[in-house]
Amino acid sequence: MYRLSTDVGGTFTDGVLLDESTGQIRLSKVLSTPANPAIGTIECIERFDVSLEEVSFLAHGTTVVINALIEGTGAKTALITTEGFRDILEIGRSNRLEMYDALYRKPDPLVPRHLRFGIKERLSAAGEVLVPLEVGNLDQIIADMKRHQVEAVAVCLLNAYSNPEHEDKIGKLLQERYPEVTYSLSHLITRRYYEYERTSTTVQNAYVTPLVGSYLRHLEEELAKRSFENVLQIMQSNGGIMTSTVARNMPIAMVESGPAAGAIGASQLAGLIGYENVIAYDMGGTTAKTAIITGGMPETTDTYAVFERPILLPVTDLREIGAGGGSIAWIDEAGALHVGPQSAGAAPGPACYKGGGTEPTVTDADLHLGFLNPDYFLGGEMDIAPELAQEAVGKIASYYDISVDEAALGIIRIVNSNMSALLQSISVKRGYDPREFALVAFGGAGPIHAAAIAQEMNIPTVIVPLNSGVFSAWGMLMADLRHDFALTHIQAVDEAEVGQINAMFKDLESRLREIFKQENVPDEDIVVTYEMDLRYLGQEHSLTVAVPGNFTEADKATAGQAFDDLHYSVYGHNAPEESKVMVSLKAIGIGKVKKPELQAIPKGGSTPASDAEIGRRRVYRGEGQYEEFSVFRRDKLLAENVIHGPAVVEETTATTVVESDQVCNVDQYGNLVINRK
Amino acid sequence: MTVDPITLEVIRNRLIAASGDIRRVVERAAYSPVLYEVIDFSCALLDAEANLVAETPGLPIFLANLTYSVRSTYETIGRDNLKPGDVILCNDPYNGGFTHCPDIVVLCPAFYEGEIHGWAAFRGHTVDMGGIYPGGWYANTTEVFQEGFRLPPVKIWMEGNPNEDVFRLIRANTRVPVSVLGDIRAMIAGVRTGSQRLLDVIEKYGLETTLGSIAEILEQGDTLARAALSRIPNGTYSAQAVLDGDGNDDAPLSQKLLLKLKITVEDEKMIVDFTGTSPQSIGPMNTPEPSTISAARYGFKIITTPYLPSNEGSFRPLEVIIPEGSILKPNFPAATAMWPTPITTIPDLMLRAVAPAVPEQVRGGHFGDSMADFIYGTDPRTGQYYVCAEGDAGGYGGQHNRDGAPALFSMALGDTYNVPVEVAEIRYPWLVERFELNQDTGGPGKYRGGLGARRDYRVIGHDAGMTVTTDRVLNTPPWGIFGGKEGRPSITRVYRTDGGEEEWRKVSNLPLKDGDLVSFQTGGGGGYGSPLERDPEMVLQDVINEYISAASARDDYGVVIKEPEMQVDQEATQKLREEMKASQGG
Repeated sequence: MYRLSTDVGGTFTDGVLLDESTGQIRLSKVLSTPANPAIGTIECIERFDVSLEEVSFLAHGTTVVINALIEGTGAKTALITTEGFRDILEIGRSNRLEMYDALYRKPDPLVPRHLRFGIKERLSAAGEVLVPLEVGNLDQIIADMKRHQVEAVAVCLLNAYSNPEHEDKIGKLLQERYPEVTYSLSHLITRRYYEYERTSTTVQNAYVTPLVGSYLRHLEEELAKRSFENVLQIMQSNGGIMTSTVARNMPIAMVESGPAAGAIGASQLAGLIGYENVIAYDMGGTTAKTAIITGGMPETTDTYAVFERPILLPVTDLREIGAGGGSIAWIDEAGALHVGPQSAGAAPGPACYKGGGTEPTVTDADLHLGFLNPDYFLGGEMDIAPELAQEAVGKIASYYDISVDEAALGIIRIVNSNMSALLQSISVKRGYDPREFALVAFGGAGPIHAAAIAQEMNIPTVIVPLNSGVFSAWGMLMADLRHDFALTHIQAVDEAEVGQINAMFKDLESRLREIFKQENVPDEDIVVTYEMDLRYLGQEHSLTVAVPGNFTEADKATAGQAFDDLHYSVYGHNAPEESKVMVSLKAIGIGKVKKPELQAIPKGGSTPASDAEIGRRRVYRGEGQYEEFSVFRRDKLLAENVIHGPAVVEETTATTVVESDQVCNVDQYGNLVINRK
Repeated sequence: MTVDPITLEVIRNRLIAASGDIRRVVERAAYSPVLYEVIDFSCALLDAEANLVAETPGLPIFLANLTYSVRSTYETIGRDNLKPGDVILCNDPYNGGFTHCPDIVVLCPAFYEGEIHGWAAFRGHTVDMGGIYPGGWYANTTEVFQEGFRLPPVKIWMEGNPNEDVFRLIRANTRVPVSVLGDIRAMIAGVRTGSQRLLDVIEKYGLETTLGSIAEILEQGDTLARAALSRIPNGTYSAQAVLDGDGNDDAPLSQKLLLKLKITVEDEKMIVDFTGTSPQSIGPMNTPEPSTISAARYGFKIITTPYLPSNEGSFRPLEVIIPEGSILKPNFPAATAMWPTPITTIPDLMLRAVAPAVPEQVRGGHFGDSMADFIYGTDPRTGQYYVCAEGDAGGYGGQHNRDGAPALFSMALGDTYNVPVEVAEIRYPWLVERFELNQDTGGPGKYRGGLGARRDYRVIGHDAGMTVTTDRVLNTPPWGIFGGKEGRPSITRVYRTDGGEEEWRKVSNLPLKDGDLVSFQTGGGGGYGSPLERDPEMVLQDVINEYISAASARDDYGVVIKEPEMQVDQEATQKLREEMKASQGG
């Protein structure tokens, strides 16, 4: 049997096929089909030429949600909310993100004002009914929605996080009286407070629900035609997967699926080879993304947004900058040189791709310097033109009257420096020391630059996984099913009743189990962990600590102390004597999936076999100096081989650079582990 | 020396990141939410001569004014008396602080081989630095002595160690020492990190290369600003606004404060001249000179290079003339607690002035004031005293090709967030009864001003007090441009349980009874272009969306709508518009 995953990216759709009997991995890469990503996905799968009957596990990450949100191609959506508050969606938080832009405006709300309906009802923060739901209002609202041919409805009432009764009632009535629309109820997506963020999340979910429904239907039909009989699993932004059935109702959870998979892959790989704290570094065509992994799991954030529209769900915390292989080097009006954030993208692409691009990009500079091999780009499948790269980079050179080599090296130095500045600020913000982390580098352009970045930041180790060019797809094979539920409940920890806390945890857990039941996950594979967001009395920001699901009186002190410690490590000070307030209770459900085992590669000696080294290349190093780099073919390397820098290791989908003062060890699974000499 | 373009770009990015690291360290360690949530701060790296080298955006009206704090330090302490490991602190509105007493400035010199080669600097708001009432925001002080404990530049760290005397002085003079001293320690950690980052660059790239790069970065800032200025036609552009004045509505201290400015653009230079502006106020609506310069720089930046990083070079082509003894350059000991109120209007007024020259880069006036409000009392649910301090968000003016933005915080504030309704109801003993855009508040225009908002709080189960300060209500409502009409100004209404109704612009300590409803209603932005030129279909959509009433469609826009079919009556509209044009013409 096989396990298969596909990851739709902006430029390419990647596939990984794992043969469960041999552990062998095969890759496929086709151009993405943005109009209907399912077409590229099927093509990517067909390249493997295996019967889908033999596929026991199929995971899929897709850009269909993010594309619809960015391009505004979702459904005609209406919003039902508490009377007096229909503009929450338009007002947002009133912040001016671009404070020096006199003409700043927030993007238009996804629901126009005449489709935002206030309904008579009111709940208190404690969940008491202050004004009963006036059901009569709803008939008029439904009539208006029908007149406007609404396709999807979001329902988000004030304080519904503390009592879902009114939202449930509206949902039931919509089902009865307006069965042709899909609807999303805020409390089923999250039961956390912050009405704008919850409304925004619910609206975006409603907005993409019809589209995702038909996308998944189409994809599943195509798979069924090819005799696929198992469950289609969808990658989520939180780093877990969910079945397509669940995804149909919670499509917003898949908004950042591909990048999350890369982070999961990095954490799983690092765990398997003995690293706890790693920085995942994914450099592709237009951006570079990083995620910090401590204690074996990527961190998630609740402050994610698309187009300034927040999504109040845990999303793998990725920081990105506009520095990818396609980033363009340009000169401003004052004569200063910059790289990015503009990118040549997939079309026209870097100059050397021969797609008509004439602006110098990072890839052109890498090619010109000799880091990339013109005869082995995508394993020789793609024909690229060094002379066009030289011409493009030459524009920078002639402006400053420097050599083309100097200009190319300059572009790389700038892009690496921007990256290390980003990594440094993330570390400073969280109070981490980058020297205690290993860098896991992947994506088409990551492994070329990782070694130099690590050098600049004193990061001791760089890991370049096998198949680093399709690493996000590989990461999906390593993901478990995951669901997150949270409930805001604000109360001083000391005053809280243990029985009530446990009842709330039980409620969250039973919702998790209900979803896992839909997904046919057997009970013995379900692991539920519990967390509490705590803060000091008077604070606004909270921090999350793990707590046992069967919460006892003694756990109050334990949780409080864990919070004091965490506060110290994050903020540099704490106040153990202060009273602690709980803000939200969270339950995280993991449905364990059998993981493929990493396949050891054949062992060799410390010196690579003679056919592994395929030549030498002269690379410009600055100040008129050139250095000879040894060039290796990665597929010829064996475990325990040692490569001394300076060297370049080539594979089909990526190229790894080992700097002069570094040494690269091939580990038992074929990963490249680069350390300082 | 000339630095190669690659090293220059690398160093530029390092310096910008270094100033960002000051912010990150402070945010990580700060105690009070006003620093990390309201983003009431700014941070910068400066060179030895106090030129701004790199800045991280915080509060926009703090733009580029840390320069003056470094200069005050040289003048007060003396350059030769500064030592490696020193950290300077000041908050005096007339020496080093230049805003009001709660704003603290912390500075750390970067010594390399025994000499100062730069500074890391931070300005941030603290919760309390003394003064007649908590918080430092007063509508009716008449001397700076009433407003808080003032420190000229002093050494809070000396040669690597805390100067405990200064910590003790501050502890003795603030109502909330734990939080204030905690914030100050965070600021010190921030500037020490920033200073070290600058030294890291010097160590890595060498002193000569670093200083050469800084000089080149400033030069390039100058070049980019000049290039932007060269696209603005030469000429003299004027605008003025009349502020409503300070004190309370029932006991005003000043009235009709005139803000006057004349902008001269001559080739690659801009002069902003405030001559004619009112003499300093007897009340606290006075802005210390460096903060006025900051506001002029803010206006200059949004007109020239809004998307580029700022440095001293970016402002070299700008000259600012401010009359001595005016509200924009008051003499000691004038009160300054409400220093942001006059200058919130300056960048807005600069856009108004240059409108004829760059019509596509400007918009109608914005609602014009941060509308600071405070409600306080004892929470009957807990018995604890609470204070809620907020601003309110209003409309911005119409633009050359689209309507203005609804409900954003004022130009004085930046990336500041409102308090969610669901958070407010937990934190405070109130019921929020409405938070909506307010119909017909946006100034009519070919492109309409953005709407103001209405936020209603009902006081539950206790009596409370309220202070609110709102300007730009009586004398200069949000203006329209190119024939656009005014937006409706801001106002606070109090609806009493006995049926009484009051309107307030500025009031201190107004008693609120259990069950009273306070309604903060912000103004809308001014319109852009004549409302009679607005596409009737857009007017119809505005009526359908209830941004405007059918009456406004008819009376302001000359558009007649057939109800209930909700269609534009083309014939009647054309006729009405012709009549309206004729009567305007006559």
